[in-house]
Amino acid sequence: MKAMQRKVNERYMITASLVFFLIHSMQIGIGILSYQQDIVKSAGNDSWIAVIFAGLIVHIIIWMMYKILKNGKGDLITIHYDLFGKWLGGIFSLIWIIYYWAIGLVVIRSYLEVVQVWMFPDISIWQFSLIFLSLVYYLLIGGFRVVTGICFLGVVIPAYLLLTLIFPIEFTEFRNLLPIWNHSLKDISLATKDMTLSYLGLSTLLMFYPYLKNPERSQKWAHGGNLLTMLLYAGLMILSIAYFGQGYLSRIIWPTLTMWKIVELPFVERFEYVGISSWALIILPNICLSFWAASRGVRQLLRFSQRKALIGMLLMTWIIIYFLQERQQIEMLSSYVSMTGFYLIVIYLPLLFVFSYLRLLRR
Amino acid sequence: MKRILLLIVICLLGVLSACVQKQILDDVQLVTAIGYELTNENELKATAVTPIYKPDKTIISDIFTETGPLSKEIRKQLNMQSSRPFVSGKIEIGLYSKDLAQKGMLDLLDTFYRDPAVGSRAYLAIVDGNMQSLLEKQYGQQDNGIYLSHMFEQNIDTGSLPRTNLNQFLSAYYSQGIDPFIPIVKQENGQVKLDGHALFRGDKMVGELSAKNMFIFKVLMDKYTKQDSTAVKLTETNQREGEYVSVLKIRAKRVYKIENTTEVPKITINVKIEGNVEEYSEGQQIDKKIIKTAQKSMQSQVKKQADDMISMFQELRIDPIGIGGQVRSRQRNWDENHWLDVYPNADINVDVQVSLTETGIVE
Repeated sequence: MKAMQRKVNERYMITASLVFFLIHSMQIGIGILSYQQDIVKSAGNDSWIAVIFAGLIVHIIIWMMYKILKNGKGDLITIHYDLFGKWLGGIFSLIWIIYYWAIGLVVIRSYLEVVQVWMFPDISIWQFSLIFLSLVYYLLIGGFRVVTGICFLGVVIPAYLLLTLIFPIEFTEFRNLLPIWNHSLKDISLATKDMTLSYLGLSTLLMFYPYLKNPERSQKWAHGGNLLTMLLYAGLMILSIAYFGQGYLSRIIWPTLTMWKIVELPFVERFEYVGISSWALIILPNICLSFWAASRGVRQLLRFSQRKALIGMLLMTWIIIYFLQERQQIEMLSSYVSMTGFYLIVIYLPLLFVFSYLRLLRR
Repeated sequence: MKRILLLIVICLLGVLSACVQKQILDDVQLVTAIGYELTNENELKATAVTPIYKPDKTIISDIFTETGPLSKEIRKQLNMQSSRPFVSGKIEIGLYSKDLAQKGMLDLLDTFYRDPAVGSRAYLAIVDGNMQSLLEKQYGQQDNGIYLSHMFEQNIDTGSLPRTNLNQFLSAYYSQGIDPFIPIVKQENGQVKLDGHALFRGDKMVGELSAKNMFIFKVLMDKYTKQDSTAVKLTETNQREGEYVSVLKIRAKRVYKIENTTEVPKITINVKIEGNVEEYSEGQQIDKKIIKTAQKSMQSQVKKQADDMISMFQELRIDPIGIGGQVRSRQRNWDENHWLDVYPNADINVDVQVSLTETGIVE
């Protein structure tokens, strides 16, 4: 049995500024292809306001996370251990580990669904996921620094996709956004709640915090990553409303992909094919980081080999992916995971924050 | 040993998973245009146009016709006639007969926009007259789908056709305060030509706009008019009765002024038109006086036509230029039903300002 690690060897640490890419790449994933629909259903032309509100809430949560981590010294598992003891803390940690693992599962299955619907209806799910998961395994045995590298590349390389957003502008009607704020506060807060789900990937910060060289200095980079996410989400939302109109937008499952249907280049008739293929690089950091966080959690909690935990998780993922066949099932799973994420991050984390603060005061 | 085994498995998988359905361009039948009409037995009759690339590098179009109850079902039957499978990825234009459009288009459009392969740039058009003979004839050096699509594109850029495509239609259909329209095409003297617009209430065609009104329609509704042209009959002074000037390179802008939005609204549309005079029916010099007369004549003509057009829209209770959308964007508690009640009686005025700036390269 291994000991619970509170400090990480400096050899495995990363520079503070890379937190920007870790946070940002984890937030942008499969959700950005389809987040518009739910938000527009409740907030209509004011959806972008909800996007910004949700982003601000997430800023507050990042601030809380840093406070918790700074007080706790270590990662989420050790904090749970210190605050709640072996058993209660262990149960909480286990919930978080399952949540991290489920994110990876949902992301890879949702991506496969997109590939199935948009490109290759007869793609073999088990073969594709086996290759993809082998890649994830290969990257993860390289350790956290490799994962960080993938996050960096997963932000930088697909950045060219932003250029494609120029094409729809010709067909936009920005008047669709007016009048600003004609929805009730209730509608907006409902949409804000839905929207926070799209930002939630950042919770892996709770696991990789000990790997940061100057954790205090990394906070501004974490906020920066979230700010970029917020700007992207808000900009894309404004563009979608202007391009589709809120009525049509609330009927489209993948608005971002549907927007690509207007792109016409001399050498490619349907840009979705390029875009969806590039998307593999965007979801790769998501999957890597969430599996990393989950397997790291297992290692810390059960003092078990991280590699063996990872193999077990990947195998489990592979089997479950094979049995998730229908769109309804995938959607149900992904909404369960998002709701769990919402409760864990928006409700549980602030409580943990208060609790850890009280502990600090009593000492 | 273990590593080598893993490597072999991964390599094998790479080879195996290439087994998705391939669609090589030479082995599929690209449909470029598809026309739908109703048969006497109330069944759908579809006419598909596909290009045939001949050995001497010329392209001709080939026609397939089939009837059936559902459009995807028709595709299956079309495949029974063809040596290669039909694919929908290159559909440039969907054509519909008038009686079909009068019964409602959404069911048919559903197969279009549900299909991930069909682009958002696909044009829609209503065919006046015989569908089959329109699609059968060879018009240009391309197949007819591409020919029609180029014809539309050209008229949007430099003619009187407002921006229109599948996405615009759906966006207008699902938005409040605007109704969709699509152009009408017709075969005349062996050529295909644009012949006005079909106007919709919901997804049902309820009215028509004649070809000579297309210029005014574009000025009133398109995001920007840049290269349009029109002929102006000089009416201001008696001595110039029956003389014409033609105005080219027309740029138009609109500003809406909306008062009294609660009861019966008073709406003023200020239209600013700039253009160049490049032809005068009497041939000789175009002096200041003629320009002034032309400006005034054009002002009153555009105003009259626009007023007539809008009162026709009000009578039909349709709103293809999106006046409702303009009101919606200026009103906090907009109610679609209330608007539909007051719209037919709304006081809508068009104010036109014309400035003719250049007269070509001679005096």
